[in-house]
Amino acid sequence: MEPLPILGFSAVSALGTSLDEMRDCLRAGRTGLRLGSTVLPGAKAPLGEVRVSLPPLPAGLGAFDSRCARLSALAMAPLSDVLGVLRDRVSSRRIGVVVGTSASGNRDLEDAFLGDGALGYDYHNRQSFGAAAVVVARLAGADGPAWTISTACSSGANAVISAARMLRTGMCDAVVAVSVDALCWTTYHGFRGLGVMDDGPCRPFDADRCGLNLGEGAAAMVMARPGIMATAAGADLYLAGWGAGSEAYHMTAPEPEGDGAAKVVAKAIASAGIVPEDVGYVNMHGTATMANDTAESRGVVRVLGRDVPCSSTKGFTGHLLGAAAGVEAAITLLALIDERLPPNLGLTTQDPDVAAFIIREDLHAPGIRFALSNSFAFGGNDTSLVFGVRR
Amino acid sequence: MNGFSILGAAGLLDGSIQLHHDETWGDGDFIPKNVRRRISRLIAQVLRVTYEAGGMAASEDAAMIFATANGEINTIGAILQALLAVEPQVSPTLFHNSVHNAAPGYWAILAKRLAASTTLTMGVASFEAAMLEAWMRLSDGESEVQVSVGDEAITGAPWADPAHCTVDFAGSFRVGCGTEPGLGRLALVEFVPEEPDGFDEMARAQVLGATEVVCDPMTVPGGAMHPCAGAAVALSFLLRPGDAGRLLLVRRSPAGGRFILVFDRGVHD
Repeated sequence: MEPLPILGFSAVSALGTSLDEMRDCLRAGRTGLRLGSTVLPGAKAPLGEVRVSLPPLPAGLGAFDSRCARLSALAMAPLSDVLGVLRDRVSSRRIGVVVGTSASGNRDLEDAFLGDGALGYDYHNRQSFGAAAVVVARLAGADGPAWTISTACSSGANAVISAARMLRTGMCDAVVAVSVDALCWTTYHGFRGLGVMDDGPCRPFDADRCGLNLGEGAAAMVMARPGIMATAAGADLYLAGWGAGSEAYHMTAPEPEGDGAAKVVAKAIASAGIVPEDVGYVNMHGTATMANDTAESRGVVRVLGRDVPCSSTKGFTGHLLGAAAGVEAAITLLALIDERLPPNLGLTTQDPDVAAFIIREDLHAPGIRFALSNSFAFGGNDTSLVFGVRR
Repeated sequence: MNGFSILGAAGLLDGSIQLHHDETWGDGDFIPKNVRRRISRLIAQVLRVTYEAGGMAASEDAAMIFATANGEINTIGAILQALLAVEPQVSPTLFHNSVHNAAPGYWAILAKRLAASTTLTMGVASFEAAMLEAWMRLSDGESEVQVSVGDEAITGAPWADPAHCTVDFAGSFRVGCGTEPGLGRLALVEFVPEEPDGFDEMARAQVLGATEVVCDPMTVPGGAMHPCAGAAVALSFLLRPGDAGRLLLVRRSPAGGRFILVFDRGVHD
């Protein structure tokens, strides 16, 4: 496919509210996971909480107020300059918005419900998952088509794909893709009920891993049709391709041989017009559940071989559900800019059933040109995004 | 303006009224009993219309785009009730049914569909936005997509305004690139940003040669409120016996602007 320029990107997570903070944590191997939470007080497992006071929404958006909306606004803030320049170049009517979210941050609804039964709570503006795109469209000053994608833990990647289609079909000249989710009790108890939550820091791909940690955050990416304007992302970055598909296997368990993962990774590199040897890094979905990590490794190795450096960064951020793909895309883009690959925190003894090359320490990758970011979800909804950089 | 062929369509209103292109209507038997007892009412209805619109005949590469305004709102209501316990326990089934892509996930498993399905929402314009996503996918090289819509009456979520959806409705449209006459054609889908002077639906209808114009439908046949009423309007138009015609469906987006859908109906007996 024709590469789609990335004009700017941002991320908010337990690693901080700026790309520089995130970069520092990744380099230093410093996790954002902590026991003790103000969002989920009394939680028994470490959480990747955004531990700053979230600014209120701008004037006129108060009706949409929620933790999710505030996280989206925080992620959008660093992109205000690039969006301003963009609106000078193209009509706001030609700027589209796609938001990816899973739970749309049920936390505010939970608070209201556990308090007074949510009497008088404006669910449809504050919590319904469609409202997330209304908020982002207003924050971005975008008047083109806007909607929300909700495919659980691959929501953020499917938002990028849907936004890319707006560009490829000429529906829009520029798009804003945001992914967001906030910590909430619904997902906390849901994953505990599934028996896939580690009460210590998660250990993706480790032989003794026993599950995930939850996190929260948001990420934003501005893309445009080629030639609209120069990038402000710090390098000549672009979306090179993607693969997406359904496993048609089980609602929560991945196909154990990694067929689903292999299929989307193969589609992704074919879409980008590259071969396995071109791939310099894979940011794995790597939830640290027994089932995901072996299946994903098998699928990736089948297509890319054993030599491509891979890591899951969920040991830094936790699993951000609907925001995971967006934040991990930002981490992947930083890896391309910096030519340094983030380590896989929590790995002591690699699972012998994991044949992929899992990075243990921050790794230099001089000349890296392409990197993948995988995201898989309930319902067997699999995605792999390919990002590239021109040097 | 040629567009894409509507290869099949079906609708289910309040569990009883059928909008369908032939006399046969399954009873949902294609859903195995062990699955049927685990899924939500919404998932069951969406699976049923997806099947009845001929979904099993579609290529395995035909993606399902599920459009919904409220998604699994009643399932989320049940989970919130569980959170009231001193030691909350959320059942795994309830939890995985609460994700808004549960219906496409179950459909992929039951129909062995490996395509990249998705769930899309934009409030009361969810159906229309999903049709634009379908239009883009078909324009971008996919040969067939199935747009299924659904929302159930808000009964288990006392914190939501029940007026947003007072009746169960699900509908499904198979849309393909082929030249088969099918039930009609999806002739055009476009998005018109907010106009300073408003939007003249009748002028647009005249330009497009529409024989019927429906703006911002809020009610499904029978008068009940439903966020995906536009899908019911389109189904009624496509499946109504009579002469050929062209429907212009206009839906304001909660984010501003309007989705414009144009359907052509062939001659029906």
